[in-house]
Amino acid sequence: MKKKVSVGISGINATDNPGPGVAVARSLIEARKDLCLLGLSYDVHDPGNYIEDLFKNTFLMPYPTHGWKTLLAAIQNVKAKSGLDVLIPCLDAELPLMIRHQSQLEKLGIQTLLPNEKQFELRSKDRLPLLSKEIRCLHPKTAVVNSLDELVHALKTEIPLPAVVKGKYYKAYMVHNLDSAILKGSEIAAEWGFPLLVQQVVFGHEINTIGLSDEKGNLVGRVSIKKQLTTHLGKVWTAVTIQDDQLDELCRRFCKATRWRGPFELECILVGNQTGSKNGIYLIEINPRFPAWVYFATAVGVNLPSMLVDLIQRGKCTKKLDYPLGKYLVRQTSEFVSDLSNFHNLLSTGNREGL
Amino acid sequence: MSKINYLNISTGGIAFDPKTGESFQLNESAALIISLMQKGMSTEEIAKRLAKQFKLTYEHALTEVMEFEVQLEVIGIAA
Repeated sequence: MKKKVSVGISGINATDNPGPGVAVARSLIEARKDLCLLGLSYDVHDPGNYIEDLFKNTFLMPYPTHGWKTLLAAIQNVKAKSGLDVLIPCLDAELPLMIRHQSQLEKLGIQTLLPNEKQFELRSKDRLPLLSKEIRCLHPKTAVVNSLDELVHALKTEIPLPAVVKGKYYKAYMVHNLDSAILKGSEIAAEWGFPLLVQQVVFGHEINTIGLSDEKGNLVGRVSIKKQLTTHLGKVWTAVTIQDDQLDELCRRFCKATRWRGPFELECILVGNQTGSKNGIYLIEINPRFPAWVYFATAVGVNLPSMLVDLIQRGKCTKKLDYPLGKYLVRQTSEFVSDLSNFHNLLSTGNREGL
Repeated sequence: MSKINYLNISTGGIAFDPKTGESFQLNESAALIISLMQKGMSTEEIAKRLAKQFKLTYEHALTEVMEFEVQLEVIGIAA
């Protein structure tokens, strides 16, 4: 019997602010029987730890802030205990380390498809204005601030209220006055540190594209959506598939300009004729990984995680750029029951199966 | 191509714009006007059809169609 390929997937925090890991796993399980999925978790309470239908085992990992040496030791531990052939990192905070050390992972027999450091930096939030210019799209006025004093100064001089205060990796809040800007800025900085970004608010349709590029930067898969209903953190709750030529062209220019390798998400605002802002597509953010709604693409026939594994294993996959329009995503909450021994195993041995 | 041509109209009279993801609820006459516009009919031809179907005078129907076309422009559906 042929040995199954072990695929490690992080971001298995399927909460009300979900990581993409569980959706990636669900996509892979639906498409292929040749994979053994391993969840890589940063918290014993991550729901993905307990989804036995998807993950053969799950492992607790040290936070990326502990450094590469510690993270690598944990990855090697996973490989020693359960084999690890392919790694799909799904969280922004771990990506810089994984990207910097991808050749070391390769030498250990762990394959990935990630952008290089230069490509990764090109799309970072603080350099997005430059990239937006290069790929010929609009970008809201943005200031990078390194203290709360600078935050207040930026709001008084550069960016009019209301504005959006963002962390470099996570979280974004719309603020309507200086007090709430300081409050939300402090909250993000306490969790994720500085710099923060202060961004002009652009009113329009929030449209997003999920995509996948091969190792030469050729776009091989893509699905666009409009978010219909979001949580207070702006996470999608209902959405609909759309197709917009301008957005498709923007996606193509992004891949060409950066020669992107692997998954990505473009977050945009489409401004029509209803506001005072200049009409067109504003690029708000580029996520260097699958978004949590990746299963929506799978459900409309574009299984990007499976295509990613094909690219990693065979260097090629079947291109899929078409999908049905007007399909409607509905997220829901759900419960299931696990056994306390799983929780105990994670606490005592660092993995659910107690290996 | 005018944006109006992209609209998908369901049997329940909801127009879906696949470029923006927006949905619009249409009444019976609006659904008819849009479907005739998608067939490339002129404002005058549409007014004749509207007058016949809803038992209106031609002048009344023409005013209705022209006002509706302005509304479509305002919400960015028609150029």
